[in-house]
This record gives sequence, structure tokens and C-alpha cells, in this order.
Amino acid sequence: MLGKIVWSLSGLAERVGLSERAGLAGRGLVLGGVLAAGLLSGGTARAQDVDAIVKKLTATHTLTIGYRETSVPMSFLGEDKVPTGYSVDMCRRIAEATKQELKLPELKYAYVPVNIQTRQALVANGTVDIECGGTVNTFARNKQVDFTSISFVASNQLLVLKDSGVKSFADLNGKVVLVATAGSSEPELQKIMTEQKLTLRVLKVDDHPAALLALESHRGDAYFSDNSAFFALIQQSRHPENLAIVGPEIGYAPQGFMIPKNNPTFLWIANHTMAQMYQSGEGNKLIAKWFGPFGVGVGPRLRAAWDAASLPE
Amino acid sequence: MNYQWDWGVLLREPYAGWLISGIGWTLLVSAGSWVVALAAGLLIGVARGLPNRLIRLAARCYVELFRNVPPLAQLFLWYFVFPEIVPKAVGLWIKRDMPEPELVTAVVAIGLFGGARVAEQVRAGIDAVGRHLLPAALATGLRPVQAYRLVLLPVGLRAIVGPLTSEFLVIFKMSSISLTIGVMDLTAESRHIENYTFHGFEAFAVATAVYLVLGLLISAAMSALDRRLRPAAIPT
Amino acid sequence: MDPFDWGVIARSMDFLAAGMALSALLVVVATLGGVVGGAGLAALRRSPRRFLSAPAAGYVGVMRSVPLVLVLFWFYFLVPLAIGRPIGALTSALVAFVLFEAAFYCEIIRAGIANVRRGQSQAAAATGLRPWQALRLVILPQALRAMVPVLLNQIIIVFQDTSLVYVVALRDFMTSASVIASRDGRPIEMYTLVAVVYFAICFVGSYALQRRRKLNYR
Repeated sequence: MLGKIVWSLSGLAERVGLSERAGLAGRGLVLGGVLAAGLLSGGTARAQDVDAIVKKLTATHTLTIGYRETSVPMSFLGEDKVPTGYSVDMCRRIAEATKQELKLPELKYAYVPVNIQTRQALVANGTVDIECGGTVNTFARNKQVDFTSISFVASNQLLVLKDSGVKSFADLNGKVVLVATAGSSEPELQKIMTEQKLTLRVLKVDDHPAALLALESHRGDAYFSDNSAFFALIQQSRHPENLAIVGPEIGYAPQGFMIPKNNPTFLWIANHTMAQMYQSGEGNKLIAKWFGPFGVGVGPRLRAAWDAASLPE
Repeated sequence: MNYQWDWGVLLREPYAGWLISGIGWTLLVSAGSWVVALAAGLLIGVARGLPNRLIRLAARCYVELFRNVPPLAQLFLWYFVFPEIVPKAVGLWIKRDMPEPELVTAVVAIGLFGGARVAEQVRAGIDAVGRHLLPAALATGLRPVQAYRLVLLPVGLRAIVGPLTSEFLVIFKMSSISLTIGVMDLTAESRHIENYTFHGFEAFAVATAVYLVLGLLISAAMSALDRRLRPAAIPT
Repeated sequence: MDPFDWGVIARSMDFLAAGMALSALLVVVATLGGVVGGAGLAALRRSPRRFLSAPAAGYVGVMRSVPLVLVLFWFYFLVPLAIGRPIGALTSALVAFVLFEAAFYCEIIRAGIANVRRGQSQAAAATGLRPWQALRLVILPQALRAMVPVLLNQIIIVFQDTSLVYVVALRDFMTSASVIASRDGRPIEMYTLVAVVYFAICFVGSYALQRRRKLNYR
């Protein structure tokens, strides 16, 4: 019906003497809409007996891993341009376990770079088999993708320049706060602004390095994000002595790895492998390896999450 | 292939509010850029035809510079480089204390980019009429400045309202690059909705429709302006 | 901020070169695909049958009215969904560019054909050539000669347009430079480099075209 209205409006546009392009554009929109609707209204979801990922692995022996390029120490490109990091190490263990479990003769890795804005879409449409960056598990995201057990627990804090004078959320009044687009911190910040009645300007940035740049060039006063990223940012900065992490830890940001929906076997393998790592002490070793240099260990919430994930055989 | 349709998501808050705000920002960036482009384009376009060689060369440099660097690169120059190469206090003011720094930066960048294109149109318009009118105007005793102000520009500009329409539409579409520096225009908000709800088709479709409608309105307004001014334009 | 460190350019040369290679790929595919697609669209638009010419005209109208950024988002989202298979960002971007530029090439081709004097097609008909032969042997050669400078100029425009794949994080020259800018904290050096390189390429390109045009008019 909408189409009919646009169609007749565009015919009217032509007759009234507006550019020929006007009428044709309107018709093009209708026809385009009909065509695309036809394309997209393909079948409903089919119930699958075998995971799509398992099918793909048995056929191609390749696991597609999504990685972050600059998310130190979770997932980043190392000196040799190979993805490395805490999450990547865990994922490699999961991949080995998958190879054993599915009895594959070999398993190759294909790495696909993802960022905050694209990671969910790439997992949801199956481009990436497992997202090894560490994404916060939220109910909203659970509608589109599945999450493995909790790999890391973070919470939101503020990264500030020491000379900005910001020590807590109340100090943010009248300041500029940076937040990543499409991250989980954005709605959290809105909630805090409403609850504590803060007036401040929100400046959206694309990712962590962009936030650091904005902070150091004084475009923003504070970066509100989950603190697992802060350690690496401080280390990357050319003047780490100017940066500080302030503010109470807000919220519960449990991170896991995203897997496309309808892959129960792969999800089982991932969770089982992670539980084994937590129980055997391998988890502790990984935390020490990647977070030790920042002075961060296995906190009480992470320990609790790991214990909860360690189901009995 | 599965896709769940939900056109109602666009009518729900906060998504509907996001779309409206996005449209507002798009119009703001476009309007601001037009003003800058017109001002710069007039200045440079006239300068291109002046007798002074140095001024002509400077104008030519402006046009070549702003036409051969992609608008996105120009935007980043203004946003990242410019505030750092001016005196520190000025730079700080540009980055923080100026009202709406991202909007102003986008308007300046897109406006000056458009200005180079408008300058070419203005030059073409003045050239087309100037050959006959300039000597005549000067012969009646008008000084060059007066000749331009009272004769050449009014007549020359009327003739280019049509081509200017396409320049304005280019600037209007170019407003979407402001999303790279944080301006939440219509395109940015449609992606924002897609990130949160996964109903990308609906979000992008509405954005497309709005751009189409706004583009048609702009074309119609410029056509109407052209028709009003055309009787006074001298056919060349 | 710290004093400028122009050495960052030398250190990242490989990365930037890879980005430029991707930009080149985008330009080549967009131009070839765009010209072929544009020719097809132009043919459809000139068809006397409404059910062929109307959709083509509508398509061109939409593509020319919508920002390229939005088109890139559209196809980034739509291509994997429509094919039913996951597709990389590069493929989506290539599809988006080809379909976008086809609309512009269509208009260039149509204008080129329309600008051939009416007398030519009438004369061709008078010599007994059928419409299709007239098009192929008389109209198109003349139209092409007029179109070539505009087509070549469009390539420079496409090259500038490819910088927009920044919004889908595809690693072309512009995006590679911006990755280094954020990662190494050197926005001034990198974005100045980007502007200079694009300027050099586009200026030399359009200058060469102008000289070619002047030479042709001897």
C-alpha cells in the first residue's frame, strides 16, 4: 500500500514538472522494495540436526576466528602480524579440543578482523565461527548470538587525564565524555546520566585507540568503557604518567566469546574446554601471562564465574 | 534465509527519536555547508576571472587543492591536523570550547570542498555573460567592482541556478561523511538502529526514503527558484 | 603534543602500500563493472518498452540520490543476507561500488549518445541501416569519442570515492593510514600524508586528461 502511495506520488511529481529524476527515483524505490522483499522473504528457519559449523569443519577443516586488531591484551595483532592475546590463546585451545572431539585430520585457522561495530553482525550471519575478542554478554545480544562461558569479568570505569580534575562521576558535569559506538557502555552511560542527573556532552568514538587519541588531544575529558581495555591503552600511550583510572566500578560486564546460534555441539565443546582450563589452573596461568604485567590477577568475581562454569563431568 | 521483519521497531522509542534527530543533524550540516560553499564559491569564482594574475593563480590553487583531495581526507585534515598546527590556545578552543566542534568542523570541511565546485560554476556563469556585459558595463562608466556587483553577478548567477542544484545535492549527500567524526546524522542513526536491533533493512530503507524525499524537495525548491529568476536571465 | 615524527611513514610503508593496492583494486573493479553495468542500464533506459526502461530509470534515480556511505552500509548488511552465505567486507564493498557507479556511468553514456546530432541517426536510417546497425556503426563511435574524457574523469572521482570504505573498516589506503594514526598516535603525520598522496595522484591524473583533451582538439 505504501508502495502504491509512493508510486502515485512520483507520477504526480513528474506531471507537476519536477525533474524527471524525481518521478523515476520514487518508482525505483518502490520496485527496489518489492524486489528486495522478495529476496529476503525466503524460508523460515530450518531445524538443523548437525551444527552448521560442524558441517563446515568436516568439509573444509578450517575454523574462522574473529579477532580484534588493537584490543591489548585480549586480542590484537602481534609484532609478526599474527593475532595473539588472552582471548586468542583460549580460542586456540578450544580449536584444538574441537579438532580432537570431531576427529578431524587437520585444522586450519582463518582469521577475520572484527571491530566493535561489526563483530555481532559477522557472527550472526556466520562469517565468523567464534569471535575471540571478548564481548560483554548481554540479554540483548543473546537474541542474535550465543555466548560461551565467561572468559573475563570487567566493569565500566573512567579513563581520564590526570590534569582534567575528574575523580568521580559527579565531576563529569559540564565535561566531554567519550564512549564507543555500538559498545555496551553507551546505554550504561545514559543510565548514569539520568540517575545522577549529570549534564555532559557525549562524544562517540569508533574504538579504543580513537578514544585514547581524543583523550590525549584534549577533545574529551574522560573515556567511559569497560576497564579491560584501559590497561593496554595506558601502556600504549606515549605519556602513561598522565593517565589515570578513576571512578567506582559500575556494572557487571561478563565477557565471553560469541558463536552463531544453532551450534549446540560447538558451544558444548567450547564451554567444556574452558571449564577444563579453569579447573586445571591453565586459566590462572593465562591471566598471569597477559594481565600480570598490568598488576591484575584473578579477581573474586572472575573466580566465582569460573567456578560456576566448571560443571561436573 | 531467515529474516524477521519488524517495521514497528522504527516507531518505538528511542529509535524513532534517533531517526528524527539524525534527520535534524543532516539538515544542519547540509545547510551550514551550503552557506560556506556559496560564500567561498562566489569569492573564488569571481577571483578566477579578475585581471590580477596573482589573484587568479591563488584562486586556481584553491580549486585544484580542494577538488583533488577526497572530501573525507579534507574532513580529517580539519579535524585532526588543523587544531594541532595553530597556537595551542586556539587549538584547544576549537576542540572543546567552541559550540558543537564536530558540526562546525564538518560544515567547514564539506563547505570548502563544495566551494571549489561552486566556484567553477560561478566562473562558468560569469564567463558566459561577461564577454558581452563586462565591456558594456565598464563603458557606461561603472568601476570594475560596481560592474561585478550590479551587472555581472546578478545576471551571471541567475543562469547557473540549474547547475547549482546538482552541486547542492552533492553537498547534501556528502553530509553523511560527518558521521566519521561523531556527528550522528541520518546515516549514522540508521546504522545505530541496526547495531541495536538488527533490523537493518527497515532502518536503512527509511533512511534511503528520507534522503530521496529530501533530495526531491531540494530539487523542487531550486527549480522553483530557477523559474522565478529565469525571465531576468539573459540568454547566451 | 609531541614533535612530529615523520619516520612513522617509513616504518608503515608496507602496510600503506597494501592499502593502496586495495584502493587500486576497488577502482579497477568499480570502473570496469560500472561501465559494463552502466552500458546495460543505458540500453534498458533507451528501450521503448516501459517495463524495461522504468525500473532502470528508477534504479539510476535512487542510486544518484543516496549517499555512498549509506549504499556501503546497505550492501555490507544485505549481501550476506541475500546470498545466504557469509561474505567478507571486500566483496560487499565491491558489489556496492559496482552497482553505485553503474548508475553514474549510465548517465554519462546516455548523455554521450543523446549528444550525437539527430541528423546522424536520420542519415544512417536513410542509407538503409537498421536501428541496431546504425547504433553500432554510426552513433556509438561518435558518442564514445565524446564520452571518453568524461569516463576517464569519472575514474578519478571513483578513486576519491573509494576512500569512503573507511566506514566499513575495509583496509584501503585511507583506512590503513587511519589505523596507524590511532595505533601509533600520529594523526597529523598520517592524515597529511593521505591528503598529499591523494592530491598528487588526482592532480596528475586530471592534468594528464586535460592535456590529452587539448591535444585531441588540434
